Amino acid sequence: MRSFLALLLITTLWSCEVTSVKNVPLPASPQNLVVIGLATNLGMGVYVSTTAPFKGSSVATGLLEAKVSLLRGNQAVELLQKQSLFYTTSQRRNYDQEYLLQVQHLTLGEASAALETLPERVAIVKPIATFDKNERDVNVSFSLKDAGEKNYYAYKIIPANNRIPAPDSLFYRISPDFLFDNLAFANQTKTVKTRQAVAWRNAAGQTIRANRVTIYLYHLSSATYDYYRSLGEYLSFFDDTFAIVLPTKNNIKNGQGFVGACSIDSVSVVVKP
Amino acid sequence: MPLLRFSFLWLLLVSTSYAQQFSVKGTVTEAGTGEPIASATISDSTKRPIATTNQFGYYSFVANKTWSQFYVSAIGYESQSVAVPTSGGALNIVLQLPTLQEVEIKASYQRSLLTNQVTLTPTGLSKLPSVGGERDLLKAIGTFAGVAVGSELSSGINVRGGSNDQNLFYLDGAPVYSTGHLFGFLSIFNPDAIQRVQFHKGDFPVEFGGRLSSITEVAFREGNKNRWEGKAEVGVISSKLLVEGPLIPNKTSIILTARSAYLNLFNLGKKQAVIDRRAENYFGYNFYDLNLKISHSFNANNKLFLSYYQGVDNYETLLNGVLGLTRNQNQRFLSNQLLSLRSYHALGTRSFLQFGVHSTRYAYKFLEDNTQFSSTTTQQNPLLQPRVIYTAVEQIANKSKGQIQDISTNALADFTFNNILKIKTGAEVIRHIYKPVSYTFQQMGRDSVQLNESTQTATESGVFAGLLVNLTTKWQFNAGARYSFFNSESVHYKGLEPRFSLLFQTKHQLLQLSVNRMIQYNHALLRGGELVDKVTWVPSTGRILPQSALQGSLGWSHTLSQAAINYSLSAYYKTMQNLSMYQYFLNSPYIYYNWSENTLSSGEGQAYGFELTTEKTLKNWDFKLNYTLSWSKRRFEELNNGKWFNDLFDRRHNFNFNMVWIINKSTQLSLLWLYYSGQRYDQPPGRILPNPFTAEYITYGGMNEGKLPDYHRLDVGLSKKFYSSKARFWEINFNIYNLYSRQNTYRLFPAVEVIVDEQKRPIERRNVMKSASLFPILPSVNITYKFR
Repeated sequence: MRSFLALLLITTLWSCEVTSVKNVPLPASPQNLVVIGLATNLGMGVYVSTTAPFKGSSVATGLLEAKVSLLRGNQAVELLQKQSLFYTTSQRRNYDQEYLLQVQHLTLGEASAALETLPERVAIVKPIATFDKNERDVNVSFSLKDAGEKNYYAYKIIPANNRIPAPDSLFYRISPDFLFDNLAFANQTKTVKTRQAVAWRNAAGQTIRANRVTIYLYHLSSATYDYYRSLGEYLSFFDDTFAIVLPTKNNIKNGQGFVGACSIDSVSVVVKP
Repeated sequence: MPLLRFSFLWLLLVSTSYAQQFSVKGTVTEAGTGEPIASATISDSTKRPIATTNQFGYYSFVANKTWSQFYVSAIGYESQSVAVPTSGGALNIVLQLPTLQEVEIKASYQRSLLTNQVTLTPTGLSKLPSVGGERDLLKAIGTFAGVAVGSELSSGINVRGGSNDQNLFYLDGAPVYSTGHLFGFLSIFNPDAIQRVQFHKGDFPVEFGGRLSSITEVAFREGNKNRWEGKAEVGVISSKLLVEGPLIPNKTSIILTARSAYLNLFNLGKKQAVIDRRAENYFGYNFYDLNLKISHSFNANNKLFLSYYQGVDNYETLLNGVLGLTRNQNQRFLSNQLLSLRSYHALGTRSFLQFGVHSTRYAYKFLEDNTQFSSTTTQQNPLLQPRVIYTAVEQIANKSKGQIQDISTNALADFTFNNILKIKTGAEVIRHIYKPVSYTFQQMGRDSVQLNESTQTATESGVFAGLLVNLTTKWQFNAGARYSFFNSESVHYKGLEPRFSLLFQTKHQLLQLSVNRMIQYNHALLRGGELVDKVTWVPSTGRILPQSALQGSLGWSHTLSQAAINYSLSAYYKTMQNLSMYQYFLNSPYIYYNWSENTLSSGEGQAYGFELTTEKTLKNWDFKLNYTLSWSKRRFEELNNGKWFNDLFDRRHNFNFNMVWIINKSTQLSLLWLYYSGQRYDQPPGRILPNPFTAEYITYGGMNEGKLPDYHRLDVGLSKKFYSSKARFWEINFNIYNLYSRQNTYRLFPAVEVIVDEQKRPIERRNVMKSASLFPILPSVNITYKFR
């Protein structure tokens, strides 16, 4: 009886939520340029596309034909070259706030993003990778020496077999799940311990097990960290009834997306049994 | 030169009339209980208002020797005609509760004409249907014209386009920093302890400062001075107990009220069952509050009041994962504590002094714990059940706490020179101690991380003076100012807050023009419109500037006494400067840490609108209608590309209709229909499709450009008293919240709908907007027993 009453109360007061699909009018969505990219110490990559209507298909349209230029002090310094996935620079540069990325499209007009100064590269030290008992996972640890009051990081582990990386392992695709800041270890050495699945199936259906992993450590600018955090929040709480998620950050003038800045350090280590 | 001549003539007139007059002072109290009646109106023989009682029920006025009688009236009481004492002096007046001639509400029922101030009494509160059996003060204030309520899960109010943290609540003179129980669904104010509520949305008296949009003075009852009595109540959400009576008859009285939720009573043993893995989840919630007030009257001119309030919310969830190998614990503890010592002293017949010393503390403690276990099974005897032993292998605990504590003192002096000139002046000093947030992050086998925002202190003070001049028998001019200071280790701010109003008042009409400026030095870190109960208060700093608002309003109210109709119309325009807004991420483990850098300042606000209130009494029916047409906008350089955007609670139309039918002496039916425009939200016009850098995500248009579907619901309450003797009765309240079970949208959010075929296989994914609604029809009953 007591449980019933408790259940009744909880049901009455807390479980009254009803969720339903609502046909609400949404504003017409003008097509905008989408510019997403990363300026790094290794070079710069920029993806150019267009926004899709909210209720449209989710099939990606691919890289858009556009003129993508890098400017410094209003002077064009490089025209980015179209590759299979994105536009890239041919030279490494020490990007700073003087640089501007400009995207010009015949019908969608011009969009631009002011770049940020690249943070210092932070070296990965003491990288270790050892197989877990089941050999499907690898325990990875590495350290970094933090310097400065506020630093923002992300890392990524890409498994590889005979130096061939696992499919869909794109090092420039930063996962919001592996972001951290130095709030708890400012000016100290931080050791990161993580676990990574290292078995996958190839096209023939065979199970491939990695024998190496490459660790990527990204030292992000503050705005870039905020962008990935806002993206992570969106991905975590999308479709959550009670979470009002802030819009993902956008630093594209006359467009949508974000061009971030980070320095990358990487190290490849053999997985020990 | 003409001005000088006019001033001289005016002073001459004042001094001449002064010689022909004498003073009358005293208190206005309720018959039976001796409770003082605030805001009672004293009118001369022509029914022209000449004075009002203050919060202690005290009045004073200067009578002309030609007067033979004056009138006293107050909302909810029978008006009374009183003979003027021939040579002045003290005169205490007792007002009766309305004798309804069985059921009829008298047409002479006095209503307030002021358009910037609303008085709410327990009787007024009882005219509204309750929510879950709880009569709620903030929900009642939310029905006033000019007030927009927050979401359904919020006791917050937004007054004339202001935000929730711009409202200052005083409980017997002590400021309150957190007003919600039950995640903000109910307010902390126990209706049984309330004597009277004065709500100011404009034309702020000079003694009040520190918030931009509203001041609510909640006065506790003093307790019956003549006899002991009490009340016990059992409802769906909470139970209450009230005891009051004289410690020394007609001299010292005490009132004690307690209220407690009792959901945990139905959960006894459940928590241990979850710990022992005999149950999957535990949800524990309790709140309680306690009010104590002792009032002592040294004599007719000197009184002392001691008030204490304590309120606590305690929430806990425990959730076992699959096979009991993980456990999540979430604890939230919120508390409010207030202590207030006040006194008043009537000096002679023309001076009134008030002193107060107050302490207030709002604190929170949160714990979020995630533990992972390993398990081993042992079976010592094949005939016995195997025993599983769980060992914690990983534990992450995040504890946070914060608080704000104030110690304050104030003094206020009123001087009545004559019926033309009244002056009030005083000062206030508040010592704030802020501990916004600190974190202890513990991970098993590792050093714990301590993050402490440093404790900050600041002194907020103000000196003020106001002048009330009755220019003629119909025109009144109020002029005053408050000069406020805010000093902390790092900043020194000060500012002038002028307050002006001009009134034209006849017996049945009032026209009021007012302009005033308010400054707010404290800032609440919160995000409006969602289920976040972690709110902390921080001071102005070098980066976060004091907020300020300038408001002008014009109001007209009119009473048609023959038709028993009262209506008022007002218009307001308010600008706000240096508004603050905390920028945070929902998923951040260290919310509010580094608050100073993560808070936007220098925001602008603009709000304007029109308000209409109409009241009509028809025999045993009482009707009230409130309507607000309003606009509220914000601008921050860092948001929305620096363009103006709608405030989250920019509700264009806000309408409510309240009807009370007093069926007979013991039965009352009340009805409340609310309608308001939906709150604002960010509309998602488009999407960024999956690309080499990110997964798919939604893009938004301008901030708060969308509007949720309009909100409306009907609440009904029926109360019936069963008298067992003249002084004892049972009362049963039956309430229905949302009678027609409207699914009001609480939130509108983008989501993906998966279309499946007959075999439940997914065939299509559609991007849709989903609506979440809470609280369908909710019936509730509460039973009250009043004893003596």
